[in-house]
Amino acid sequence: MFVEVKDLKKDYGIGENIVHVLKGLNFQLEKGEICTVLGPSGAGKSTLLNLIGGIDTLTSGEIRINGKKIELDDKDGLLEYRRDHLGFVFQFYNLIPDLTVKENIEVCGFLGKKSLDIQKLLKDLGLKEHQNKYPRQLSGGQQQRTSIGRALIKAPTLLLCDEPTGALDYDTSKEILELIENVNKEYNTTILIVTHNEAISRMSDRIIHLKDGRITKNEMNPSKISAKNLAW
Amino acid sequence: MKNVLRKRLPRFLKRNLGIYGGIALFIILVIALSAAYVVGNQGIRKAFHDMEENNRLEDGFFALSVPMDKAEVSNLLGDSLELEYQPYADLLSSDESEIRVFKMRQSIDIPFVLEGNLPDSDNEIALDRLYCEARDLDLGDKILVGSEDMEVSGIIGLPEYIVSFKELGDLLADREVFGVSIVSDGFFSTLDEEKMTYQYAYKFKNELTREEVNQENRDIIKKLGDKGVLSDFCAIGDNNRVNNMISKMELNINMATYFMVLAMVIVAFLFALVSVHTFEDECSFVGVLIATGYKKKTILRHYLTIPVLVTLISTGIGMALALSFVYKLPTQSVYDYYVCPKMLYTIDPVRVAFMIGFPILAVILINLIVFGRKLNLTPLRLIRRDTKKEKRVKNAHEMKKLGFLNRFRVRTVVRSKGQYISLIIGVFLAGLLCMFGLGMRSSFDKYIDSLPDSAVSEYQYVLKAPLPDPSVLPSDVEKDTISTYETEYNGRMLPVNVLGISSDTKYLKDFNVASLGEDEIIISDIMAAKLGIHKGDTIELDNKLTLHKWNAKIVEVADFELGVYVFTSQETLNTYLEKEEGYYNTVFADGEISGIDERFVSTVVTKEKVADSAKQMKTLMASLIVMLTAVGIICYVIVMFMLTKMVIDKNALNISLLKVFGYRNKEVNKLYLSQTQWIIILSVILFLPLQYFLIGKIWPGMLNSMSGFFYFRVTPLVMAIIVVLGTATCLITNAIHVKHVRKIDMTEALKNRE
Repeated sequence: MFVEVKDLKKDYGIGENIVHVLKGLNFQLEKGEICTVLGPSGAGKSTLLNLIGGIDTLTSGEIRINGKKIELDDKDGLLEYRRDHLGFVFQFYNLIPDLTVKENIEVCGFLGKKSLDIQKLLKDLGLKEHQNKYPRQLSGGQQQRTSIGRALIKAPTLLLCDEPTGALDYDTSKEILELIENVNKEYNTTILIVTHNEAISRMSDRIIHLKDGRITKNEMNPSKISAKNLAW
Repeated sequence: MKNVLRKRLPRFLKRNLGIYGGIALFIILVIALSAAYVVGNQGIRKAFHDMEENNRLEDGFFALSVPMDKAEVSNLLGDSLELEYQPYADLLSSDESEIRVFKMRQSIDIPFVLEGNLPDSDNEIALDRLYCEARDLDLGDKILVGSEDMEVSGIIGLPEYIVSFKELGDLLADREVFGVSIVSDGFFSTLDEEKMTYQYAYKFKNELTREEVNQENRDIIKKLGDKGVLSDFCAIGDNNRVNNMISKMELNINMATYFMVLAMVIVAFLFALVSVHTFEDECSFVGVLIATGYKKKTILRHYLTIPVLVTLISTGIGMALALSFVYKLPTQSVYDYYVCPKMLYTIDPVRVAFMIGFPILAVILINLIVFGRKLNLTPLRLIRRDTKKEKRVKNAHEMKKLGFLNRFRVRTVVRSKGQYISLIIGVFLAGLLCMFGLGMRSSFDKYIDSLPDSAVSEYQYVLKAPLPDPSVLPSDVEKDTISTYETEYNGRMLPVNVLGISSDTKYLKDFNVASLGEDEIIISDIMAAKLGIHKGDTIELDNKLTLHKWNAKIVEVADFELGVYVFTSQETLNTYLEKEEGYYNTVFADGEISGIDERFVSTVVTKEKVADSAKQMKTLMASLIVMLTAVGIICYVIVMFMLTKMVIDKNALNISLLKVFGYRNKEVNKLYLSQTQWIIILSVILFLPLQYFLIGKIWPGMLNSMSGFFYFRVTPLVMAIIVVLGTATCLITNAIHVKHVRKIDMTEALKNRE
């Protein structure tokens, strides 16, 4: 198994104000799998993503990546884990406004031990002609492509996408999903997508339903379709 | 329903306590100290002016070579003058110090009693305070005066001896060797006539204009001179024993006010930054408020409340501290040197209103400009945070030659240029204040160091009249003529020393006065700097005693550190003073001249005395210098801290984002903090010449009340201190901020990115 989550619990607050956000999650992902986590607001989707992303601490349970337990108390270890294995794609892109498209991608390229060829990546992402533009000169879709490029440049083994199409229109959303699908195929990257949009789950290998901090359904998708055929 | 926005004010203040607390502390410090200097010095000035009226300070005095009774003098000088006979004798005490003993006065220069009483009996004496303090003399103690043991009945001051110069031309008052006193008429009548100086003080009976006063003084000199009895004369305007203190008080008040204004410009600047920062943070919230029907006036009032309250309260606290006890600080150094009446606690409403009003007005104005302009934007633009002018965004240059790290740094600086410009302006202003404080000290030090070297000769004798026996003068001395003229300067008359150099000059060969035309002069560079005049300008010089008016053209500005001097030929000056050829009244010599008749000597100036007098001036201003230095440094540190905090706060989210991606702290520092550090350090260094130039420009205004002048000078050490302070503050601040950034929760950072 590439990703193993065992009895994962996360609480916020203390005493009477304690909120149990995740109440013991268990699931596994194979290498190169696309997994979609669905659920309403407050279900704990983003918390799960933050824990797997090593940017939040868990209350109990464990997470293993490629067989290695993530020690959430070890800040240096977590940093190296994020640096070597993870790529992040956010709903609101989180691009650095002072940097051009190319430089925003280089932000993570700078960290990779074996970074991808940036010119090829820019071409694949359809951003070659925009590489010297600042984020505010770009459309939402182009910004999200940049964000994906930034996540991919260091060739992560696990790509975490938090509502990657949440801020985009229908056509652009589809473009981005196709891009994610291509990344998965070309680089065999394991991808975890958190979304409200149930339609997106149809392009994934596995679908996990979260509700009130618990997994209500964890199933393989027998009728996986290509991203370009998605409709909602 | 009440305006619910008010409820967020305390919470907002709490959240931004670091910034507002820093500004408040800064205001309190500046107002407390500058107001204390103003109030303290004004209190002493008020006490002096009250004493001037109540104790009837003289309009001048003259001494006679022979005793003349009051009626005789009055007959000679006419009835426009009120006269008081004030003879004195200088008697030795057991410690070889001299006590100038005066008899009781009735109507002019009435002593002010600080402790005890004026003498009631013939064995009592009232002594000046500083003379007593130097010997730990208390009321009832005995002291030897001449050959009599006398009891100290009172500790007093004499209105015409605020500073106890033994001779009028003295530069230094030394309480160890000289003091003044009052004794009973009975005791005075027992004194040896031979030791007596027959002096009269006078007051004009009517109020006179400056010209009329000059004319009257000239008449006194002429009438007594024609009778051949005049041995000394001094109008109050020229009396250094009295005027010395007031000019120093004015200097202190001026310096403190300049300092306060400069510091408040920095406060206004800081508030402007905070306001821009706040608005950028909250503009979408403001847009929503306007969209839902809030009036712009209400929102403006809301955002003005905290800055105005913080300024008002801290100004109030600063002023309260100044008025309650801090004002005592500056008065002590005055009491240490001057025997003046105790300060009269007085509040000058105009100046207090200025000191409270200026910061508040500055803050209101700045906020009105910042928010007023932004509130004119449509609610939609505010909600979208689209608050900047539409500009066509050009594609970025690739900067291929630079590596990623350097490109990142350059982009950050270019895109955040507004913040960096603010940072640079702040560094400049704070450095200006720091240099002002530190430079005051080094300027005094340099002045003191340079004075002895710039003295014309080892000894200078200023004579009351030509010596009856010139043969006592060695052949190698230089005999010149010196006179005091006045010139108009900032609405008042500034004394100018005019030196008539003899044709066979030994000490002043560099001054080519022989080639000067009738109305051409050379002036000292000090005079040029003080008056802001240059070669080719014409100035008007007035001689109070001869009433000679001289429109003189400056043909040369010469290096001469001693003071405000005009140089001409002795022949020309003697003609203007209506003196015969060969007249001289000052002698420059390499050594002490023995056998010179002291009765003809007004004062002896030595290099050592010149240096000591400058040192004394520094001592007198020591507390102000310390205050300016300390506050300058503290302000520098506070401003630097706040400015770097603002820059780092602004980038905090980007920094935490980089951490999410896996950047190490060291790498984050390289990307975000190192250029800020370098910009600050470079600004600190590169601004030094500009700061030096600017303070040099406003410096003459600060020394306006001084009759002399010295240059604003900073030593390499001062420059180094400013650089080290700036660098250290920047590094420490960065370290603190880095620690703060490390604590930012990465998940929160992501949520806030929307």
